[in-house]
Amino acid sequence: MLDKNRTREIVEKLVSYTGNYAVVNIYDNGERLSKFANSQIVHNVETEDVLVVLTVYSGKKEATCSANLYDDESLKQLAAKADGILDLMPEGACERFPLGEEAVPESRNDSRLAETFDVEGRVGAIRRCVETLEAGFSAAGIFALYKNMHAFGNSDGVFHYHYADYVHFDTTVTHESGATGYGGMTATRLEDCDAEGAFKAAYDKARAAVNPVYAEVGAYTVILEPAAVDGLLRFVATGLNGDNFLSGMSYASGRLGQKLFGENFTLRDDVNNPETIQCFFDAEGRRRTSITLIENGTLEQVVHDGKTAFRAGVRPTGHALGSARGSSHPANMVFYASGGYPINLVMDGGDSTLEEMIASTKKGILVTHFHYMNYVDPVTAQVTGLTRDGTFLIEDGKIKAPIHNMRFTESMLDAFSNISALSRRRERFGTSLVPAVKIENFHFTSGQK
Amino acid sequence: MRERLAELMAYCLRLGADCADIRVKTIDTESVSLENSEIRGINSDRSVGYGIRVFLDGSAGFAAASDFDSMEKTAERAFKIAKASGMLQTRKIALTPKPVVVDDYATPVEIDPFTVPMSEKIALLMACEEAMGAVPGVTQTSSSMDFRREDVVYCDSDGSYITQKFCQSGGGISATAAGEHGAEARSYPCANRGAHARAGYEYLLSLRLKEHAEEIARESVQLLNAPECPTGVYDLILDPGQMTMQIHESIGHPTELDRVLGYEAAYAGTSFVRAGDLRDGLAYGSPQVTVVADATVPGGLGTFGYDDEGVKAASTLLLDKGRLKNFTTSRDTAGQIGLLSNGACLADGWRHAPLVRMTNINLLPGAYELDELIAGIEDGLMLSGTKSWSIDDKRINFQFACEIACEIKNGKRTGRIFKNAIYSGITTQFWANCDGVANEKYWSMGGTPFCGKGQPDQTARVGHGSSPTRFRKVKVGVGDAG
Ligand SMILES: [Zn+2]
Repeated sequence: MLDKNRTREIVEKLVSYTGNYAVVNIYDNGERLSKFANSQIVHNVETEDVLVVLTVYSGKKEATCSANLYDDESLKQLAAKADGILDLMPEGACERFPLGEEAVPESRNDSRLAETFDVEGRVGAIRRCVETLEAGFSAAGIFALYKNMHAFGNSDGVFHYHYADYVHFDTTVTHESGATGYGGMTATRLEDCDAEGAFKAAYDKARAAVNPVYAEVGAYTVILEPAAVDGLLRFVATGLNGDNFLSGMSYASGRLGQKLFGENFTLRDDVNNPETIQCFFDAEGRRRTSITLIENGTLEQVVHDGKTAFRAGVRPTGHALGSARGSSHPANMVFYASGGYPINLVMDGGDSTLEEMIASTKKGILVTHFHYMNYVDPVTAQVTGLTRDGTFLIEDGKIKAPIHNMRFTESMLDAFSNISALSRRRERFGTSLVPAVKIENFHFTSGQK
Repeated sequence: MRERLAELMAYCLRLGADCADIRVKTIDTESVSLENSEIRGINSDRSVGYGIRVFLDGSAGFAAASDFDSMEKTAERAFKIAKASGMLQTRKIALTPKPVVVDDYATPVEIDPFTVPMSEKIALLMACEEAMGAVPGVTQTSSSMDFRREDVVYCDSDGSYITQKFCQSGGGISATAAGEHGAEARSYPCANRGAHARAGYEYLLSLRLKEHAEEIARESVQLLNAPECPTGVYDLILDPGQMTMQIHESIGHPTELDRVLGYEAAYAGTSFVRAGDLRDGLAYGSPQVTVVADATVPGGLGTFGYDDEGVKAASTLLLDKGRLKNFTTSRDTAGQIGLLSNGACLADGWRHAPLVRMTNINLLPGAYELDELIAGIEDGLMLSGTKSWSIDDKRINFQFACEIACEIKNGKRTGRIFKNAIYSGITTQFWANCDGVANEKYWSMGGTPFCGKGQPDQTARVGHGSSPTRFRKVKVGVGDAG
């Protein structure tokens, strides 16, 4: 992993090699991932990938070049290439909010994670889980240790460095009849790593999911476990991207200050919450701020990077995304690269529990998580997706039967306006922290028959 | 390079490995993005590295790095990982045999896109932007081009040594009209950064983006004021752009053998198709539906000389007149059902291990003229432009939304258009209701450069050839009344 001194040296070199104003982002993403299926290892991989991203500016022109090579010669080539593109460009349109001096807190890293979860540690943890399975059940999933380094520097001498490990485990337990159950956990501290607990949850779900029945399509009261809520929130969050907001391609466009959701829906992006995965600066070197996106149903704020903030005439919020390849975005291109994205989603909980939500439901559906969600229409925030790995019919306050997966098609504006209960307890999913919720009048539009 | 890699493979054997392979890749990408007649981004990237896969007593380990001074150390790491995999390996991985090959391959390219001056690329997109922006009512325009060059060296401990050079080019344009009652977008040739092919800059020129700019801009404005698509059960014709996604999600993924065998159960999902369905020739669709996995078709995004296990590119019949005939396979998975790999094991870049991937999954042309397909519809719709897509983890229930629906009444296009066309179905029922495929005159290669699968998540570039295709009795709209 590139350390602070080495990354600072790379920044300084690039700044000196280019003839233009330079912004440098360096990512070093180590991935140690053990994947299992049919209760045994199917892929076991360890990769390193450094990415040096140089953006050069001149007037309103901007060009970005990146490479995973950082020897002296390669850095010179990178700078020359970026300068060359800039020289030949017609006048651009890049206007940015200037970056001031900001103090950025140091990231914390629990070094015990990497020590504990080397390859033997990961495979051992998976083995302890699958050894608990009785005949007729098998498990698939991953145990991964991610090592994330991000450094930022520019021609003004600003320099920030972040390094932190986290682990992610998720699993689907499958019964030979086809019934499945899901469980997962993300942790930045060793004491929060409970793969066996997540595995047991998946196993219990799979057992309960045997012999499913078909439920009728229609509107239901749904109880969404935190993993399912997190899935929906991604679509609420995408609408809060500065670019989508300004282009009109979002339910949020032109509606700041309006009550779009129910009174009991409050969503923040809170990098300061230690339960999320923290990195205190963004790809433009700004201090990532904690902001209230939605307060008691009212759209308070959207996120911006320097460019969309400039266009919107507001201050950037510190949510700029870097090069797509630096993130885990599959496109290796520039899809969400502009406008920023809230990655530390924290949703307020309530005073209920999952058990109370079930007990108070006359007829409803309990959802473990969703699969393959997509916007049907970003302007109405209509989203579709399917239930997966544990979907149950509730009748008269009790789980009556497992059901085959169902497709929902629902506007997020309606869904988060119809919350009738929220759990006190919240769970971490990836970078977010979310409760379980109960939503009324949620539309399942087709099944698997 | 060849001696060095051969020596490294020999080193893996000396460590105690049963066999090993390596992929060394240099990948250059360039993308140009414009919005509202302004340059929004010019990005260029180079990624160089290698991934070593080591097999030891039926277990595998993979390590990737970009440090070429420590290749032996990376090999040792892969060996150590393979050993650890053995702690939880009840079924031993067995690779099916393949011939030892020394060969090279290159994408045929007329104009190397990396030699075309940036100013020319910007000028082409700017002309599109201006043509779209000139249409009254258009509120946002965007256009882009993406190019990708891959130099790949494959070497294994059996003595194969293969070098390949791939070149990918593509682009697209999109216009949005936003008003009080929402926003509607139209794209050409398709949404999400357009259409791409393994070809040179000549492919991008052949798309004739500028010639379509005004038309899609006008359509976006018309759509904003168009009525909502009616709901109900209709006969549909899907254009090749939409067929790309339909084939991808409901035929391509379910016939990947690793999914069938449960390898992707926790993430991408499994398949409603079982390995045993091959023996019985599962009825997947109507006799109109003949589908191949063809890695040899010119220009396909999934066209190559050899896959990432060194298996020669092939054309495999997946569905023959609607009946299941084969899967896309790798050396490990094919052996489990008594077959040989058909060369569909690919890795995204150098930092990922290869897994079963679609190559070009193509619906072969039928016998119909487009007008004949239309003439056979009393009350139906022709859909274009993928807007939204979703399918369950077993690939049974899909739902798509399209940018535009054109009305067909009494065998003719009426000229009316609708917005927000959504259709859904059950995979085998839907393909069983396919009763007409247009002939080779209407057939074209398309594809998606963004197919995500695997853990770690990998992106594949997948081709899909098709022509306009007719489906009977499809549910349109999302009414949940029954
Ligand atoms: Zn895909």
